[in-house]
Amino acid sequence: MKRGLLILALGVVGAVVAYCCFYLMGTAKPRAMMQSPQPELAWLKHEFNLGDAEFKRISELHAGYLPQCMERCRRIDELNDKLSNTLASATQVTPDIETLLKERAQMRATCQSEMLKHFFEVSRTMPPEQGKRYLAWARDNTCLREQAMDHGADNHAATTAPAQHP
Amino acid sequence: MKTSNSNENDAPLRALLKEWKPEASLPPRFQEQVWRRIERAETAPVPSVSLATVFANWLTNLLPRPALATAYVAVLLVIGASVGWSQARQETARVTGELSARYAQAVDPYQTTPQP
Repeated sequence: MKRGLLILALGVVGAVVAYCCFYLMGTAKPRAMMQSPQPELAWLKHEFNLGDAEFKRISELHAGYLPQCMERCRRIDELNDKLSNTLASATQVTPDIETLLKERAQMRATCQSEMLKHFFEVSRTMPPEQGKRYLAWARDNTCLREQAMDHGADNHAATTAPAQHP
Repeated sequence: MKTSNSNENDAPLRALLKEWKPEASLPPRFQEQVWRRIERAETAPVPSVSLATVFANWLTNLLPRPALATAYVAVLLVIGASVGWSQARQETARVTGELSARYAQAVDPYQTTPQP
């Protein structure tokens, strides 16, 4: 009985130890990424197999891009507020409203254009194959890939062709 | 040859057996008692073996056998390792997805943060 119990316990302890070892080994990379100062850049380094020099350069590009991006966001917010205030008292489309809409659209286009420039710059810093993968990731995971236009199920049923807006 | 010899030898024995008549008589209501015992045996509950008894028996007699003990420990090690590795992969995928979304959010302010 005693020997049986010992073997039973040995099996259970062995299973727990094996679980812990494999779990800790398997999660070593993500834990290291989460503990780094900038986890999202650590992910970039890991995902695109970047060397230290490439990673340093990309970190610099990232640090340079973010303040400019934030400034553009601030200006878009300002335009949004102006537009909201103007729309609150408007009963028709005035030249002011048209101007604000154009300005906002222009600012958004500038923002997307600068974003795309940043993506190209980052991709050029990577080895060619990884750079292609990075651009493909950016196409699929950022606003560069616009959502399909949709007027809802009711309108689809009412029209023969799907409604599209430029 | 042997059969005919044995038949010749058995002849007196056969004669003796034909003459023999058992003197002992069966006890009273013998047949009825036999049927009653059969009935009792059939209706008696089968003694049940508890799970604890089976487990104790397995622990005492079967598990200490070297082959079984080795197999038991090996199977538990493999199960522990497989579950650990599988959960590690799930966790890695979760963290990778989360960090990928964080990077996208950092460089693309048009990203909508997924609601938890």
